[in-house]
Amino acid sequence: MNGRQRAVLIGLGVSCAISGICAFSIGAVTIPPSAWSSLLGLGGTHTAQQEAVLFIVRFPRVILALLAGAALAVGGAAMQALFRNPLADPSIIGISSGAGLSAALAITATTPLVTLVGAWAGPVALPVLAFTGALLSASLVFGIARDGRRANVGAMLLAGIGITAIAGALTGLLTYTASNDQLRSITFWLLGSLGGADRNAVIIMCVAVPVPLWMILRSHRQLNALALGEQQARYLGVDAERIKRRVVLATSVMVGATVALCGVIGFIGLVVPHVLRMIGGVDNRFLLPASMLGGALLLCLADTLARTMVAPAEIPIGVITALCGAPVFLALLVRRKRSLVL
Amino acid sequence: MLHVDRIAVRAGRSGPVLLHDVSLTVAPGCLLAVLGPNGSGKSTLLRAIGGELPVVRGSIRWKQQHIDAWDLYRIARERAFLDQHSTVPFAFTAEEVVMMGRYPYFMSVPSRADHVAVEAAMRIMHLEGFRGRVMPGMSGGEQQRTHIARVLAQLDDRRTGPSLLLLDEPLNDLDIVHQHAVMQQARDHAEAGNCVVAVIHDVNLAVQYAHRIALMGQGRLLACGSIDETIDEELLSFTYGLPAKVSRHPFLGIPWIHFGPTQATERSIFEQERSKPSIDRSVNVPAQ
Repeated sequence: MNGRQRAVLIGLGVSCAISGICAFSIGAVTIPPSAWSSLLGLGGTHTAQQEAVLFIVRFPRVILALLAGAALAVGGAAMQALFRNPLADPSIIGISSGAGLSAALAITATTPLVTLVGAWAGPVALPVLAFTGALLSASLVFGIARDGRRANVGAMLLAGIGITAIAGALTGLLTYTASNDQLRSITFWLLGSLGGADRNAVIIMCVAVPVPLWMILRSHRQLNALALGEQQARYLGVDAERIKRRVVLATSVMVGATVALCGVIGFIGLVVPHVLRMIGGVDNRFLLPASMLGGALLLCLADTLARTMVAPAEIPIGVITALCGAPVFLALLVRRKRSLVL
Repeated sequence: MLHVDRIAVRAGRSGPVLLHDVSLTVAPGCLLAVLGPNGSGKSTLLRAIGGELPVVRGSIRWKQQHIDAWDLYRIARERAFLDQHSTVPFAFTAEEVVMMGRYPYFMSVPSRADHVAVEAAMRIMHLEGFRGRVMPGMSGGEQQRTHIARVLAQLDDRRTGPSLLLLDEPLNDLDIVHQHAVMQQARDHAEAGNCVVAVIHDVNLAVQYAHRIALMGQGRLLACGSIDETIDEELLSFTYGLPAKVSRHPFLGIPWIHFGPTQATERSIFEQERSKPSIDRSVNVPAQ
């Protein structure tokens, strides 16, 4: 890793920490520095309301934003390396569409199964169903693309398109037949929101995200080697089948959990790795940790905007990530297009 | 050291047979050049040795051990393969690509020895000025040299004993100077006690640098032996289906092979005559 890459990583880490603290402090109830010092036992005063807001509302929400952003961006970078295609993102293996379909089912349908799951899982029924849907469609895509022991990456891409189309059509059908209230929840869910952040969500994310994240981050050499092609990677000692299974599984779990809890937040998985490639290079040893920090930073900032701009109402976060991320992306593109090689 | 024993290879499970009954041995210190027309099975042989293609009959052994029985990670330190065409979809720098050759040697962070090996390999391939250059911005020949530097860096390890270097058309896109440099490097690598198998198309370069030559045609090994045993007008004409004439290299005294019709035909003379003026015109364009 060269000096520039190290500097970018340190910069991202510091910005992440700062924006995290700002996100804790800003909102409908402001938590000023004096309240912080009091909460940390350093003197000063804080109200019970501030304490409650911080621990019950803000804390889960910021943690969720950081973990979800990290999962989406790293998932995107990993998919791009796996598919050797800079336009891939986590939704390419059907994760988002599968989760979307089962979320729409959970919202609209009153079938015995859904009711049963609802009775069993209570408030986490929707995330549990969405997560199951994400894993199901990802494994369906992986299964279709498998030829004996080999998983064909090109077939995986096409299978993902097929499954996404079917799930999208069924979601559309459910949307069409949904009542007004149901339609609103479906739309809200499909646009993405961190409004569902609570203790359960934090626990689910803390279980589902760190391990897959670590699995992908430590595969940086293997993902680099795959850029040479699967056969060439094999000559470098990389078991391509194992790495494909590992990366698809890890991405499905962490992005599946993210989509299940936050809805479909587009753009981060595609744009964060791209921006970082333009800034610091394509080596996954740099790109994966940088995407983790960059995704966390972007989603944390976007969520802070989403809940403060029209407070006490909220803007869907998918709208914010696209509106904030895309101009940065386009600006970089304009500046670099002459030397751009994907 | 490398023993290929009567192997047969099929395309897929029930596809056509690509290799019939091929046997050969490569000892340490030997650069074996594999020659033959397109589709004669040269690359298939190389890929079978690389363990990419399943062998339906016979066996391939490296250091007495069946090639499939080797641990992928362990054999990566002893065997390297240069592909005909390697394209890298992302903007990796030349140095990062050469460092990939060291992946079998480190888990997360390259050691000092890895950096030394990368630097040495890049120097050999005259890539000192290309360390930070991104691959898609380099010419075809420069990219090819980068990949050659990568396989050299991969086998830069004295502890494992003889290594096996497999080169599939290493001279693609290279200028004359680098064609000779790569062949010399392949020969030097072999003479350092390693096995090298190279598929190449230029018969004269093969004769000049290889220790042994294998001639292939239609999936069969037609001949395999020293230069004197294999460079034979009749054998070469049969291999390529093109008349061949062997003379002597003016300086080196080694065989020099000429392919093509032995007598200029009327038609080709006519075309030469007619094309002359246009060649002259292009030559006489004033330099700016």
